[in-house]
Amino acid sequence: MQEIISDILVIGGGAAGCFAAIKAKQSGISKVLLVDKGYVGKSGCSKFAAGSFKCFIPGEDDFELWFSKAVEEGYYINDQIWTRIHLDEVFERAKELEAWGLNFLKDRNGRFQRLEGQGSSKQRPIKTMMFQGPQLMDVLRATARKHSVRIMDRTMVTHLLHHANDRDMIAGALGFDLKTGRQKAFKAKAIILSAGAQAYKSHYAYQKMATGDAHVMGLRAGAAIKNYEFTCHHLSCADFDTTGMNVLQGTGARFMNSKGEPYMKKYDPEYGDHASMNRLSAAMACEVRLGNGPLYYDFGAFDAKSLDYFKKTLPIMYKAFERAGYIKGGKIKDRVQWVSVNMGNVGYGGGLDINTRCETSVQGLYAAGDATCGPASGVEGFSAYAIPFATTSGARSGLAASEYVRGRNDPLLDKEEVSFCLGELLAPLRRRDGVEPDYVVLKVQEAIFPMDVYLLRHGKRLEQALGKICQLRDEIVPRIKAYDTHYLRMALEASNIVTCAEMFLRAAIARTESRGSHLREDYPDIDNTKWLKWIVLKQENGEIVVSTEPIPVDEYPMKPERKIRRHPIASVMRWK
Amino acid sequence: MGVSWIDLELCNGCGRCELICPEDVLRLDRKEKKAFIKYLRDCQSCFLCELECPQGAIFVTPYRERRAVMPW
Ligand SMILES: Cc1cc2nc3c(=O)[nH]c(=O)nc-3n(C[C@H](O)[C@H](O)[C@H](O)COP(=O)(O)OP(=O)(O)OC[C@H]3O[C@@H](n4cnc5c(N)ncnc54)[C@H](O)[C@@H]3O)c2cc1C
Ligand code: SF4
Ligand code: SF4
Repeated sequence: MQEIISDILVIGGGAAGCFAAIKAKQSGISKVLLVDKGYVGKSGCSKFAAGSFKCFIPGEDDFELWFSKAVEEGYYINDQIWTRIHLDEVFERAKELEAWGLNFLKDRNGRFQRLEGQGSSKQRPIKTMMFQGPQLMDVLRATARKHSVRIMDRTMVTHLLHHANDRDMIAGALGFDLKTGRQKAFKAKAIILSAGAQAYKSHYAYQKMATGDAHVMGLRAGAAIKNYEFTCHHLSCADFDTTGMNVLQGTGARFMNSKGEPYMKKYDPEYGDHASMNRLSAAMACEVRLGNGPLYYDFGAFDAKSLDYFKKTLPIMYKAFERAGYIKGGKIKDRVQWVSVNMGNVGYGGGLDINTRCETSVQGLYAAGDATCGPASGVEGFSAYAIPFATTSGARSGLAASEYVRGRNDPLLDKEEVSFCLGELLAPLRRRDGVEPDYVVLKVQEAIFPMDVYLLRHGKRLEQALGKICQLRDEIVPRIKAYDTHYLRMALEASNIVTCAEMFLRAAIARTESRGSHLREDYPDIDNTKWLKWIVLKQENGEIVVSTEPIPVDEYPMKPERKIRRHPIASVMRWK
Repeated sequence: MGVSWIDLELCNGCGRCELICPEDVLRLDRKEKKAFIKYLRDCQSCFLCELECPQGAIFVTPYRERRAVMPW
């Protein structure tokens, strides 16, 4: 086994990980290692981001409007101190990106072009900046290299390791080279987990690498996980995986049911077709319940200019539309079947609990980006500020970890722990026969992807789904077989998908109210008398344990009224 | 479906596609100096290989080999 020593190990090289590594180098740390199971610059959700960058611009935007909307749409689940820090720092990050070579769309006068996408209305405009999507990660890789960050591509990290003399302190990690299978032990004074979210390999574009690896590694190392009941419900074309909702909403596409009726105003009078993803998704499920499915995205209002904008901002998706015959001879099909997707916690939703220094609850372990519980955005917070948060939290984690490692000695690994973890890592390869990983992923999807489980939730159905997941955990996961090192990655990902599905269901069962994307038919009220709480998950003696932590709203600038009100979707549907 | 075809006449064996595919679908036959599709089912139809291939040798379709379970 190869042993690799660094001061700071960054696991996952998307936008968050690159920012972390670059900031650590800028702070003068000599050995900064960035490891990714893909190729840094061509991997991660960051690679495929549709280019919307929701950035508060000082002097141009109204801070109170941005802050209050972020907290309102975060349904008060935000860590409001984080929300403020994020808004304060995000424009600095945008300027850095621009200086490093990223092209943001500008108007003729050189001002940032701003688009009204999700969560923008006439009364309360929240405009997003746009960058050239595919360019972002190329710029970040080049910048990381310029800063002499050591990059190790195509290496999957699977376990975190503790200090031999202090079980509460992090000291390293274990991984393997995806092609050669060579095992690697990383020793590091601090580790930043920036390996992204859990997306359950769902029907949304280009996030199949987001398999909750950071969440599971963190959980197992003793770190706390928060907000896992809140999932990101996105939308996609039904026939194949797509993205770019901000752009499509911004250029005038409209939602229609099978009767040809636009329906969104009914579910969201203020925002209509510009509503947030969780509202759009819930409305879709309600329409299907009412017998008005399937549902369509109507491009009738698209003109040559909108198509041109589509092509410029979403080149990959545009290509997919052409290949599928949806765009032909410069014209787009009138309407296309559209569905909601459980995107896990890409962009916002559950993950590792961090404070404003990006410290997790384990010493020496930091987290950034989608790997975190999204403290700035809470439940949602006019979504699409996921890349922006990856930049602010990435930078903060790099700076804080740099401060922490200064003057520290090289850590000592615990030999017994290393050999135990190695055994676990190699088990799927060593089994003579067994279940293939894809079967496990399919079973998880069957348990949690029906709309009656993740969209319109009910205690009974969540319990049933949990039963299926626990059965998979106990009977199938120990039998997953990997034929080679590619399948070893898939096997470990599948196992992580099961663990995260369990965390999601346990948290969703525990929150006996509705709030944002967490919409329960059996508890249709948003209960600010009892539920201004975070749900925290930890692993104790091999089991996932649920607890709650009061949100210190009284210390925050925005305090909700302590009363009970109906979830807006529940009132439209007149649930009792 | 997913990544659908690699034109072996065009492929110059540069190995770029193998290096960058986020899902580890493609491999390079080092002896023959030709890329091949090894793990089709894991392809996420992200078009990255097609866009990055200097020879224009790869053709991707938007339809994935295994569809995810739908909400309704
Ligand atoms: C198609 C799509 C479009 C989007 N569009 C937008 C948008 O327009 N605007 C916006 O703000 N947000 C958008 N988002 C969300 C946004 O992309 C993510 O929230 C953001 O990129 C998260 O960045 P990250 O660095 O935390 O994680 P990622 O970019 O996902 O990076 C995580 C990295 O970790 C690596 N990794 C994972 N597990 C391991 C492991 N075990 N070992 C080693 N490496 C590992 C992965 O390979 C990956 O490179 C979009 C998401 C998708 C999927
Ligand atoms: S990138 Fe293109 S030319 Fe290079 S190996 Fe792959 S298919 Fe061949
Ligand atoms: S389309 Fe994407 S996932 Fe599929 S082979 Fe090409 S790069 Fe890999």
